[in-house]
Amino acid sequence: MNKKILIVDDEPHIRSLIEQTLEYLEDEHGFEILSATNGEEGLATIRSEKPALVFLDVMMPLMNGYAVCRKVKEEPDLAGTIIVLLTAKGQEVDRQVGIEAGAHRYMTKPFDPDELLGLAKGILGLE
Amino acid sequence: MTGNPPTMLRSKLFLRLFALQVVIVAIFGAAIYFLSVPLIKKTIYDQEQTAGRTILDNVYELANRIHADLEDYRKGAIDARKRELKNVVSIAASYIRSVFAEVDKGALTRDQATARVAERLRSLRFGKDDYIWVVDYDSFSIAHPDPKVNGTDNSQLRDGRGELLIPPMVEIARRSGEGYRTYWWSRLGASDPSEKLAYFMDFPQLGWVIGTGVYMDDIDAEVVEKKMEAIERLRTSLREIRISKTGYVYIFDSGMNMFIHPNPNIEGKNVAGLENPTTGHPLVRDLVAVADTGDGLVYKWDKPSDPGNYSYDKISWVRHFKGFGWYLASSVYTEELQRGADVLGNRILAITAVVLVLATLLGYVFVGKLTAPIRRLSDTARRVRNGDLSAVSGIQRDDEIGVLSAAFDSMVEQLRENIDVLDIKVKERTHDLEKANEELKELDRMKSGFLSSVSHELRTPLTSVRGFAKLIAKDFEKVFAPRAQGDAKAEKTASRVQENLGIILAESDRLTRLIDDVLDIAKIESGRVAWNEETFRFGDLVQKAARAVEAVFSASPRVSFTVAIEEGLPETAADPDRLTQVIANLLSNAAKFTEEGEVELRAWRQADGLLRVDVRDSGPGIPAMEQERIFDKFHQVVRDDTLVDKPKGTGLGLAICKEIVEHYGGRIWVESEVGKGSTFSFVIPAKTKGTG
Repeated sequence: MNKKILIVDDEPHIRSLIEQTLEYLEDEHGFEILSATNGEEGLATIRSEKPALVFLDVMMPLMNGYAVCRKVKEEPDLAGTIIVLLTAKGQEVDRQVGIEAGAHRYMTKPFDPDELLGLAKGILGLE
Repeated sequence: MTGNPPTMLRSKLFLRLFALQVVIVAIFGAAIYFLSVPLIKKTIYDQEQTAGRTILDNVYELANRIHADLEDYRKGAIDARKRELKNVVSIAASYIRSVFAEVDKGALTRDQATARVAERLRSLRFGKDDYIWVVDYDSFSIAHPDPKVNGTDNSQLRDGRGELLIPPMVEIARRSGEGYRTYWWSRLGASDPSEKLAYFMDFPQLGWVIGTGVYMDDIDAEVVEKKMEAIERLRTSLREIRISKTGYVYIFDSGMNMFIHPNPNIEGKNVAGLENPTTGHPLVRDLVAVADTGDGLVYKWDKPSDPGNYSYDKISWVRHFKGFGWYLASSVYTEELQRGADVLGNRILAITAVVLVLATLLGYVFVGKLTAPIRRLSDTARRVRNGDLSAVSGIQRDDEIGVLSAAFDSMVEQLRENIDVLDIKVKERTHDLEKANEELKELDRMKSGFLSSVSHELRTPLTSVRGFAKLIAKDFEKVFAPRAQGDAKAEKTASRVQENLGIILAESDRLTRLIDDVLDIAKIESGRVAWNEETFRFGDLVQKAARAVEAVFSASPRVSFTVAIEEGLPETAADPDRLTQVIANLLSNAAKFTEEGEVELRAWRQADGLLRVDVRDSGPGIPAMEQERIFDKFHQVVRDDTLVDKPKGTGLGLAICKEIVEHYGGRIWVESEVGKGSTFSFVIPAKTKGTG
């Protein structure tokens, strides 16, 4: 497993919050935390770095999270990438769209840092 | 102006007036007919009867005149005979004187003269074998053509009736000089005596009485001849007499011989045996009985056209003419007397009918003309009522109807103009409203979009605030707090930092809920919610909602939480998350406001089939004024003694609950008393399908 976690969000504070939250995984489990500031950059990074886990914001400039998600799922060598969508849209409809686009999980902003870390641990099988 | 009849006949006004008119005309017609016809009929019948009687009276007068004429004739004839007799006797006397003048001259002796006179007179004849006789004062016959009488003593001679014949005449002659006498004497050469009228004259020079006579039969024969002629004339006249149509006059004598009758079968016959079929008596006897009473005899008789059928009423008036011993009778069928009356009655009926029809027709036209404008006005009014404001009566008259019509037309015109103006205004307003509505919709879309993006924009910084606060709290607890131990001031500061971080976290939680609720209600109100409907057992859902909030109650040991769900609650179709949201909201409110006491959740099915959920708490209760507004947006119960140390609500929870319950055709309400607690209840239909 490629020990890389990618954070894609156009908000620098959110990126910073997630990075700080995941610092534990970096320190304790040797994961590398990567980040991208928009959808295109995020997709390019996924292709180049092939991270095990991606925290993907939905509402972003250039390419939104759903589109990135679909692109990733279309490419066979990226299909194993686990994507957790992060969004302010908390409706069931949005959740559906995300799942259909190929997202593994769906987190609603504002999320709890502990929850996010727990989710990441769970997905990565670190419990 | 009269319009077409079907229209006219549909007009109630016309029908009423026309019917009234017809009734009045009919009453008048009937009155005229029934008042006049019986009277006229009776009068005419009486007149016909009078006419019948008058004809009979005239015939009676005719008979009377005939009788008088005959009597006159007889009298005249007797007088003429008397004169003749007197002349003959005078001539005889002159002859006697001339013969006896010879005696005076001495040429003849008295006996010779007497013989000559006797011989001469005996041979003298006049008239119808009439003769002269001479007797002396002793009734001794000096000259008589009958040799049995001549030269005999006639003093004891009696006539055919046994009366002394000659001496009374001698006595009259000697007393009065002359005289007349009737007696019964046989004709010369005949044996039966006949009535004879005699004239006799005194001849005193010789002491003789000279006489002559004539048989009355001879006079009567002339009278009878005259009478027969008169009767024949009478018969001829009577045949021409007609009473009514076939009525006639007939005459029978006291011997019941019908000697004048228009029917030749009866005329000349004896009718004594003819029976009156009505009484059974001889008809003639009944007729005689009513003679000269003025009343008619009514009896049944047959008709020439229907012989032998004695069923027709006939009336006869009878008069007895004593002069001839006649019974004059007139006879007529009563129906003929009534025929005139019937004809007149029928004519009056016909005239009445014609007048009735004419009056009805005139009334039809007249009432039609009278009601036409009213009808037209009412038609116009009906059209106007049905919405045709272009209807105009157009009636121009100088009477009240004209004024009414003109006023009506102008009112309708005014109305039409007003409505036109109103229409234009309504169109303008509608246009404005549509525009405003479009703008509102646009605004609504903008609002929704705005709310959506605002909530997104809010969530992102909130995520940072909350997240970093948490990280700080974690770092602080892990790294800084242990280091502050032992330093009183640092410990105090550390404690305050941790407290403040807690406030930041609590407030950011509240802000998160607020954003969620605002977004929720905005979506519900704009109809953009996707209602994910499922069919589920209502009891299970309530149970699940109760479990979701159980944790809240277990954190408050002074509050007992009981759940009572009726067994076997039916299925219902709704968005389970939304219904759970409602129940959880009510329960968390109850928990929030109840510091000590109990909260009870009950669910059951009402008698009317609705599913009912009650959340009862023993909290502070809600004032009546507040109860009305508690389901309004952003409304919160304001009380000094509540919400201390409790997370504040957003003021949207109950509004959202209300929207959800009402979406499923249900109802939500609260019953509360300050100091005793509140019960929030809602009902929804079982097995319902929302419209989403």
